[in-house]
Amino acid sequence: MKGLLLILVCFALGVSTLQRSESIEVPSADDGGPLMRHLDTVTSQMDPGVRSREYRESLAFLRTHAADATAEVSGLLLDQPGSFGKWQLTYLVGEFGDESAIALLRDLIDQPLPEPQPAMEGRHYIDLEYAEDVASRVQAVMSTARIAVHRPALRDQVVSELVAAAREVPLVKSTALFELRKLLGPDFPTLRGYFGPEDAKSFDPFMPPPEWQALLRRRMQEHRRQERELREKGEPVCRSK
Amino acid sequence: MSEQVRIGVRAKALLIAAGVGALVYMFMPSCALFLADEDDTLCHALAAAEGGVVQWPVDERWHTDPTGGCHVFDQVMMNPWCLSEDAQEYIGGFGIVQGHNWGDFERGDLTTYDEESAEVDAPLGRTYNGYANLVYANREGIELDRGRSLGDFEYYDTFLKWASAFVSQKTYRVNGSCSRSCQTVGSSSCAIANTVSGAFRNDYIDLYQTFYYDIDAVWRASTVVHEVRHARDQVLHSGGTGCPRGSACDRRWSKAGSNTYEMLWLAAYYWTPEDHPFITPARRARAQVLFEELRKNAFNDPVQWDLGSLALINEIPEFYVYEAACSEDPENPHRCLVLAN
Repeated sequence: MKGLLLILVCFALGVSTLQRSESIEVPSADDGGPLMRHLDTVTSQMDPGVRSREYRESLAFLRTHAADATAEVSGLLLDQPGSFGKWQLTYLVGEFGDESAIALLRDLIDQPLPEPQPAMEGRHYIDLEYAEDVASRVQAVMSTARIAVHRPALRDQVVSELVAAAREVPLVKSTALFELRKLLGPDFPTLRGYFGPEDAKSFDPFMPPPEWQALLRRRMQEHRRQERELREKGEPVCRSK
Repeated sequence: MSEQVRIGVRAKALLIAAGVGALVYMFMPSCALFLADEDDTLCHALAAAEGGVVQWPVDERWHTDPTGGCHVFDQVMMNPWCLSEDAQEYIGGFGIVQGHNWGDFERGDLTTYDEESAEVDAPLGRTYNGYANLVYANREGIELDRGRSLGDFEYYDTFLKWASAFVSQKTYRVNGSCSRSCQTVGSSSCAIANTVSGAFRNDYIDLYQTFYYDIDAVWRASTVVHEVRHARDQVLHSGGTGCPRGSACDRRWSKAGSNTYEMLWLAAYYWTPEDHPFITPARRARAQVLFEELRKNAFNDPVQWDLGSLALINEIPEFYVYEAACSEDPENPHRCLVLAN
């Protein structure tokens, strides 16, 4: 009787553990044709990125079939809880550069965030799933901006999407403004009218106080010179296979 | 049935219920221990090693998928320390060599990797991969002298150089642990590392299974900067449970706590030249999302500025170390207005 009770309690807790430990399910390369194989390659080679021949070849294929590749991962982006894998795919969707991804990424940005697990006083636990959920939404903004880099024809659409995200989704506002600044360069101040006075600092580039300017100029010159020299040497720290 | 008999039956039933309750209560700790072991897959793998060969865990539960996972930044060829004994010695000098409990993870495993994925798979190797981001984010790599005064900004003329020396000089000991320290068994709410600091030079950092297997190498590096701020500087979290980060909250940015330091390092990592030989676009993007995640989740008072405010952090690091991070000086409204909360 006692043993049975203990087994039952442990079993119940064990089942709940197993339920929590479901991992994200990406179809494996064995399940599909070349699309899945190339998705597999760009995911595993995303760190070397374009320095890797396999990555370049697979990315070229996926850009040619960008709509299919985007559709293939859309379910994972929208339905799965936060994970590193979800962040990875959100990053890669920006690299595929398909127009359909703009709406997909916006759907991800608009999804309500789950509540983080309640904190326990004195224990420095971090809710990793929640942190990755935030990371994926931030990445969705960055990937939207990347689409305009790969597909200049979509730039106006991307800009209006980022402006809307900055105005409507507080979680990603600073990222959206930052990406807009990178994307538009000197034209960024033309967006000032879309935002209120509380966002003025986003439009005024930060400069340290005057007494730091001389040191700043000297260092910038020195650092640019060092970078030139290193570039001329052309010795990478590491090489991909 | 007489009243006496009925009372007797009730009393017996109550006694049985109390007995069962006591038994459950008595056995719960052993049950919890059993399940905690279930969570500590790394400890299991070490215990089950045959002939010194450990099957390292691959069950990164919240961060993986069959095609990639958080170990994509752990590839051997992208982590140059793997091929250099000098580099291994340099990284070991961050306090790992002095650390306890690494004996469980054989040093011979340091450079082992998964033959299929070419990813470093042992806990010590993954720890080195984390530190590699601190080292190789600097062009000087292992040539950087970490022993100079932290006030020598003519030598430490980027924040990344300064941070590498800061981590080295403010770390005493980094310990390994095979435990997975999570809120409950199977929970995604876990401790990555824990630092104990003392009045004397006896501080230490414990790294848990989550550090090696549940987070990526860039996050590991920023975690090290975070923990080191707790260590010799003894700056503890000041924000209670007032933010989504739970009990790892800082009240505000200008408290210059661990979260501030972690963000400064992530920003410096982000603001490196685009053709940086070690910091790939994927690592840079990862640093940006981790920066934003902290910005949103790790402070009670909203942080008022963004990544753009830190664009010059690798040009004049002394400004960010001594002025920006700590500025709440009413005599200097410019710095306070721009950077402090």
